[in-house]
Amino acid sequence: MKKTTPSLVILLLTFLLTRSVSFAQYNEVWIPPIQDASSYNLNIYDTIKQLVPTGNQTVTIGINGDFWGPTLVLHQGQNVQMNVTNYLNDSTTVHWHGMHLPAVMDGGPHQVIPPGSTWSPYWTVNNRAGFYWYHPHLHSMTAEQILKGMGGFLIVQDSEESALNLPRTYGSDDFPLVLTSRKFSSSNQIVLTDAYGDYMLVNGTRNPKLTIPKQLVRLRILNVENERGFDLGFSDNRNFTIIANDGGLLNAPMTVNRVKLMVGERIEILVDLSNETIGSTLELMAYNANQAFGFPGGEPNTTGAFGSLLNNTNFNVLHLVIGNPTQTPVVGIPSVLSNQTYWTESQATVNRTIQVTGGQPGIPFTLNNSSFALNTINYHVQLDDVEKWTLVNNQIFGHSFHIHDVQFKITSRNGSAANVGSHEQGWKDVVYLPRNENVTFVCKFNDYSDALHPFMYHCHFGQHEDGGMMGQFVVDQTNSLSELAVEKLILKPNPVEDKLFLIGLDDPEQVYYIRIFDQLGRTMYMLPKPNLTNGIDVSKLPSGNYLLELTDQQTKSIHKLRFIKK
Amino acid sequence: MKQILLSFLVFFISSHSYTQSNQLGKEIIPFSMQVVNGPNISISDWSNYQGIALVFVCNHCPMAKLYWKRMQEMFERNQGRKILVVAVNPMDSLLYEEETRTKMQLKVKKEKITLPYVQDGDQSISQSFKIPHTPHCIFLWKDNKHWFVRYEGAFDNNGLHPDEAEPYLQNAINQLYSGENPTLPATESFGCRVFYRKV
Repeated sequence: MKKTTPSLVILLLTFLLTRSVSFAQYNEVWIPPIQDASSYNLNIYDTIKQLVPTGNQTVTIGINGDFWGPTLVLHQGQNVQMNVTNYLNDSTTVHWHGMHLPAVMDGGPHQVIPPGSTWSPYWTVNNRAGFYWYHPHLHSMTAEQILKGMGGFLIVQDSEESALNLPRTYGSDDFPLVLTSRKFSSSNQIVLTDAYGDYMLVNGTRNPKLTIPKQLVRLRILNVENERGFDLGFSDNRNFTIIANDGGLLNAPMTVNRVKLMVGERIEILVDLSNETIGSTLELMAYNANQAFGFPGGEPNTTGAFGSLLNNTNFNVLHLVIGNPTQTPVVGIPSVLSNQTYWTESQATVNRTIQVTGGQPGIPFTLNNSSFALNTINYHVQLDDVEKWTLVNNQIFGHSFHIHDVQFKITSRNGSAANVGSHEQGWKDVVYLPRNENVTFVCKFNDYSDALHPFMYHCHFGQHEDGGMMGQFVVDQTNSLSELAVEKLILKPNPVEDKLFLIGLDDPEQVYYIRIFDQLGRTMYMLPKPNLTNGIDVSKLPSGNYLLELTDQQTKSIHKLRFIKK
Repeated sequence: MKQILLSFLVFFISSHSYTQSNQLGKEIIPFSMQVVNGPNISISDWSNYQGIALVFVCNHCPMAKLYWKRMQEMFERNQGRKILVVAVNPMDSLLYEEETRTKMQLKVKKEKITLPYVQDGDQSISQSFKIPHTPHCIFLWKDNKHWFVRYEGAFDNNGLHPDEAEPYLQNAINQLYSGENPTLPATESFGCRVFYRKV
C-alpha cells in the first residue's frame, strides 16, 4: 500500500495537469497568406501585436503584416523578382535561407537595406522543391529583428515533387509551422537579451491550436528559436513519416516517433490521422526533458539569461483538434520520393576544418578563434569545387551551423557515417553540432562566383552569430568581362517620367550594381545586377534631382550619373 | 559577508529591470523649441508655465501614432493649469523623408492638431534627454523658478485601448499639481528607436 502512494500522487498530478491543459484557452493558429507570383513586394514595418493576452501591445516587426510575413511560392526554373522596402527606422537585410543564388542577391550582412529604400534582387530558382524561409541578417541586429517577428516561409515547387501523390493543399492538408518562443518584460515587450523564451508561439500565435483534417496530413516545420532545439513527437507516441529535410525530398520516407529539430532546420512530415475520431485531440510535443548536457534548452534554470519556463521539460507545442476530412484526401505514402545522388567524401578536393572556439564566461563563441569582421574574407572557394567541411566542437555547448549558397550532405558524425541521424539523410543547409562532437559534410560550390560579395557560414543562434560566430567565403572564378567604357554612358530620357534607360553599354552584364540616391543622399533604390533591357522604373520617385551610382562588374569601380525626375 | 553579497545582487537586479530613469531629478535650463504648426513660431519663454510635458513622438512610428488623440486631449485638458503639452519629433529628418518639417506640417493640418508639434531639427533636445525611442515622455516641473525632470517614461500602459490604460503621465502631472510627489516617477517605455546623427 505504501508503495502505491507515489504512483497515486503522480496519477493525480497527471490528472490535474491534463485538466489544466484541457481548460486552456486556445487560439486557432494563424496560417500566413500564400502568394504565387513571379514578383513579390515585401514591405517591412515597425508595428505592434497583442502577444500578451491582456495589457499593452508588443512592439514587433511585420512584413506586409504584424508578425511573420507572407508565404511565397517559387517555381524551379522560373525567375523571381523581389522588391524589399524597408520602412523601419533601422537598416535591415533579407536573406533567402537555403536558396542557391548569386551572392549579391543573397541578402547577407553586406546587402544592407537602409531605412526608406527598396532592394530589388532577383534570381532563377534552381533549388529543389522544399520548405525554405527568409529572414533578416544584419550583423549584430539579427537576433533582435528575428525576435521581433521578421521572417517568412518560402515554398519551392518542382515537377518531381508535384508528380507525387502527397498532401500539398496549403492550409488544408499541408500546414507550415514556425516554432519559436518569447519572453516578455513587465510592460509586455519582447526580451531581446536572453537565450530562450517562456511562451511558445506557432506562426506567431500564442496557446495555438490547429484544426486538422482526419486524413494523411503534411506538416512543414521550421525552428526559429533563438537557441532552443526541439525533440518533437506526438503525445500518443505515434509514428510519423519524414519526407523532406532542409533541401527537399529524401530518397525514401523515414518513419520515426521523435525528431530533433534545431534552430534554422526544417523538416516535412506526414501524419496519418485517418483513424482518429472527429473532435478528438492530439498534442505536438517537445520532449525536451533530460536531454544530454549541451542541448540548447536543456538547462535546468527557469529564470535569467539562460533560463526559461520551457527548459528541461516536456511541453505542448501545438494542440491538434481532429476535424472533418477534405473532399479528396491523399491516401498512402509513396515508397520512393526521389533519386538523389549525394556527394561523397572521396569526391572532395578541398578539406576544411572549423573549430568552435570561445564561449568561456564573458567571451562570445567564435569559429577558429576569429570573430566575424565585415571586411575579412575567411575562405576563397573555387567555382565548381567539391569540398569537405569538418566542424569540431570541443566547447561547452551545442550549436546549429548554417552555410549559405549550398545544400550539403552530412557524411559522418564523430568519424562514422553510421552516426548520421536517420532524420538528416537528405540535403541540408543547417546541421546540429552537439557538444564534444564533430560532424562532416560535403558540398559543391557551383553556378555562382562573385569576387566581391561573400557568402556566410555561421551558428544560427541569434546571439551567437551577432556575437561574431560567423565567417565568410567568396566563390572565385576568372572573369573575362571587359571594363565599362564609361565616357560613352548616358541616361535617357533626362528629365525622366517613368522608365530610365542606360545608353552606351556594350554588354549589360558589365553592370554589377546600381544605386539611386536623392538630393540629400538618402538611398532610394538598390538594384543588384539589374536587368536593364526594359529600363529602370523610377515612376514612384518624387520629382527632384537624383544621383545614379553604377558599379562596374570587372573593376568594381563606381561611376556617377545624374538625372532629373519630372 | 553574505549580506554584502546579497545587497550586491539586489543592486544588480534592480538596476537591470529599472530601465529608464536617468533623467529624473535633473535640472533643466529653459530652451527654445521650434513649432511647425505655423510659420516661425517658437516656445522660448517658459515663465508663464508651471509644468511642461514633452512627449517625444514622430510621424511614422506605429506606437507613436496611437497617441496623437490622447496628446491633443491632454493638451486641452491641462491648458487652464499653466501646464503645456508639447509633441517633440526627435527623428533625423535627413534620414527619414517622412519626418521632415513639410510632412510634420501636413500631419498637423490634416489631423487638426493644435498642440505644438516641435521639430528637434538638430536632435539636440532629444539627445540632451537621451530619448531612446518614440513615444517617450519627459515631464518638467517648476520649483522655485528652477525646472526639474519629475517624470520620465511611458504616456500610459495601453497603446491600442486608452480606456483600459493607466495614464502614467497624467497621474504624475495631477500629483505634482496637487503638491504631491508622483507615485510612479519613472516607467518603462518602448517603441521606435531614435538614431542620433553622428556629427
